[in-house]
Amino acid sequence: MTNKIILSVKDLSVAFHKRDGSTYAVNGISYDLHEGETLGIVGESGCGKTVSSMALLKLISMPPGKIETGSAIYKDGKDLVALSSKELRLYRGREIAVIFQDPMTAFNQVMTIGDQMIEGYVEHFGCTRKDALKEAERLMDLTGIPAAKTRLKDYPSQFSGGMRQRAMIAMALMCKPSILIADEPTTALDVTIQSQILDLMKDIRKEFGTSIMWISHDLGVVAGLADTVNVMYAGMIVESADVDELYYNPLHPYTKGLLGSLPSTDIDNDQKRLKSIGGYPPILSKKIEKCPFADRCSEATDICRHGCPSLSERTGQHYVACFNV
Amino acid sequence: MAGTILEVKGLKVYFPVKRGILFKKTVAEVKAVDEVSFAVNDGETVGLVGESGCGKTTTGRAILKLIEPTAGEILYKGKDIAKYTQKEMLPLRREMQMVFQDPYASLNPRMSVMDIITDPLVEHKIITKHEKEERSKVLLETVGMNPRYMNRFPHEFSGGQRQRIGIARSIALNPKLLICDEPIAALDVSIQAQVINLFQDIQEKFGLSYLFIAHDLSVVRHISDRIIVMYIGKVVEIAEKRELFKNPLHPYTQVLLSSIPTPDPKRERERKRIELEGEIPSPLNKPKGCPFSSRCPYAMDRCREEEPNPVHLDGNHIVSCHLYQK
Repeated sequence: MTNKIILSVKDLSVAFHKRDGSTYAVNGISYDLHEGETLGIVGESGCGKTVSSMALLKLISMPPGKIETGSAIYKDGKDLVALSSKELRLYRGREIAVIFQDPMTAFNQVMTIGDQMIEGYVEHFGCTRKDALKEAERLMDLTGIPAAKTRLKDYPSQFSGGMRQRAMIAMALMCKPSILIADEPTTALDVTIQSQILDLMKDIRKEFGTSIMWISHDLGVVAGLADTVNVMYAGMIVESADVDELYYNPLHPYTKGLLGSLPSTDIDNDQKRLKSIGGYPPILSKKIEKCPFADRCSEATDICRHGCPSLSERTGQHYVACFNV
Repeated sequence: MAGTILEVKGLKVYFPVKRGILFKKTVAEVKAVDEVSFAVNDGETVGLVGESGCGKTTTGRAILKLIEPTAGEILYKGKDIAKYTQKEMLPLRREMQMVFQDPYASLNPRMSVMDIITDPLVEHKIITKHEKEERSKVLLETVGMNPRYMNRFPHEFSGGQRQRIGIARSIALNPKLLICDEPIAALDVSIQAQVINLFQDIQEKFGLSYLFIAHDLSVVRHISDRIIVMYIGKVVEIAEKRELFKNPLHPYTQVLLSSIPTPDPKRERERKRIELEGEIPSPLNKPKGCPFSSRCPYAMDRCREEEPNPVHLDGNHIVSCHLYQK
């Protein structure tokens, strides 16, 4: 990880306007991604972690989705938010690639794995199929798929879940992107396969120096992989810090609650009851006007119910959005 | 813990694989559950863990006879119910209930909450229609929900609330044994903790026994007294939870435990994962001998030829592995 900023997101807001109402999914988030950094984005379902990341490449359906405000400055100085879909094609796959959550449905079922892998490569680099297939074979080999050459001719249905996820990672690496967005890439996998994929991701990071945005709800997975962690709640980043700082010294009541609600990992700890966060996450049908966590927060005061705190720095590089910290 | 409420002996569930259009012939069998034996004591929580396709859900369903077992005995309070007809099962269903995984699919969207949770009571003719409201109130309060919601429909609730409704339905008949099939897998972390606490409260209040099926080992470790580990249709290890986590014997259990990510960055970075080659074989062509022999780092010739029998070791620790065969 270097100090060079590769992507700078400022005040990004995304909403979905449908006939039966609006959903304010992402509410003014800002963060920087550095070269070679692995940024963990954690939060519960509906917190906006996927939408905020996919919106960078306009991979959300628009309409009903709409990027309301904000910018995302890529390292070449271009604002991804301002680019047209056509201009963005130069970035998709080439500069920023995505590993999708569900390896079962993210592939086209009627194209061979090989054809899907080389599609973007041929498009971006204008090389021959033969050269592209050679590169695909190399990457399949690298991601640990045995007999890569023959397997390129297979269809996705002939791959197991773990192998499909490996193929998806190989496909994302085809154009040597600077940023990989990994959207819960191990959630659909069994634990032993998950740990194989996590090891693979660590190797890839070492070999290619890629920056990774790792979206996950699993705090255990993020602990082992991330350099920096953003915690999201109700479409906002409520806390952001270096991984050790965040896990050992959480400041936001939501982060504390989230970490506290996990069963203890110490077998000698005879914990009887888990700490839980009462209540449920808010429904985002209105613009946020007060702290979205106030209703579930034990430390909430009057000020929390009347204004929305913004993300600000407390100690070095530790950012929190809370009035009471 | 006094008596044994449930004992499963040599349970087998085979699914035939059929080919042909007119004259369907059975060409193979998927041995989803193969010679599974274990017991659940009164008031105990037994965790059943394993990866997808290992047969844990099928085992749970076969015990309640939602799937017909192929062979073996299921002793509920000493009586073998494996051969019972559905009609004979009916009175027993009051005592054995299930909590399903998916709170979105397991509640009838056309029924109100009150109808959903009192349906078992009406079905068993325990209450009349006029008592439904009163019972619903008590049940909803037990699972920590506002009784005012009883006339609402499932789609008006979040996942965690739906799972509470599912639990209310399961405990309506005052069962003795609850089979919970991944009841928290579909829930968010902060909601998981609420539901796990609810399971423990209910157990204390009603003296229930749980068979808790899950793939999330940290949750199973928290809630269980004993843990059963399955691998493609076979039980590979059973032990008291502390014993299992401190002293896992079966190579598969060792791999499984070393794969759990912990929410502790320093420990995560230092932790050595046991490398495991390959993937889970298809239950259609299981390896000969020990099911784990194709991936096991300690596999010997004997493992590829001969299936290991369960070995009973000190402290109620049972392991099916040739390494421990005397």
